[in-house]
Amino acid sequence: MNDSLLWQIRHFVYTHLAYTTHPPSAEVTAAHFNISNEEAGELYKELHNRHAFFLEPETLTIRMANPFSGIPTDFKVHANGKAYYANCAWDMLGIPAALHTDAVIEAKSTESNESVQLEIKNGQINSNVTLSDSEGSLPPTSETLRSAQSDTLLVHFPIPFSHWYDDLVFT
Amino acid sequence: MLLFRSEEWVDKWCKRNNLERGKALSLQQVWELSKLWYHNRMLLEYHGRSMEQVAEIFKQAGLTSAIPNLKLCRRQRCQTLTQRRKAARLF
Repeated sequence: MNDSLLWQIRHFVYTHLAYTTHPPSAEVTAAHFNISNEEAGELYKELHNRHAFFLEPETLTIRMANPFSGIPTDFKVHANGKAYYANCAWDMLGIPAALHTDAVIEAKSTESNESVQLEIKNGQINSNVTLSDSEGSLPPTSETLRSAQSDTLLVHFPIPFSHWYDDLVFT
Repeated sequence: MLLFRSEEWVDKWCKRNNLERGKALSLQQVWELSKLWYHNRMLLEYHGRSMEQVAEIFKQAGLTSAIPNLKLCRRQRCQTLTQRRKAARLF
């Protein structure tokens, strides 16, 4: 296994994600590095095994390259004129941290089912968070909109750190 | 990791899903952790990190007590060769 190529591929996947908001297929990666699709697939599997990113089961489709998600989620991050999806509430903050950029984040609060909008600006998290009831498809009105301090919002880590990789999608 | 409006909603969700309650951190805490965790993720030189480096990040973020299983994690993972190999995986 060519480790140099392996890490170049990891870097390519992340760069591709940053520019396009979605992960490259193994075929796209193979073409970029002028290698066969089969070799790109094997390298994808190796990067999956090393937890560099995570494939959908039994496929070569990248589901997660933390903090980026390969599929839409409840954690949408607007940054650099693009819209990314994060895997979770931690990763929604991880995207502006990884890209070193300002961001506006749209998320859903679990159980209370409210829409949350918050801002990262100049390396600081905005203390004003907009919450709105997310029932219905109409945009929030002045009656449903309200502000809250971001320090009232919480990110719950449901399982111990040592078991994060037991069921990654659940984590 | 999910976002919650308050501790009350965390409790409701855990109860409804019959799940043990984990640790709830403030957005500010998670933002500080994110900066330490992800700041070098886009670099070619990023090849993952060791458990010691992970522990150091949590320490720098002031979260060693918030994630109590962090210390156990290394001990549990390093009991066998297989577990040592797992411990060498990326975090």
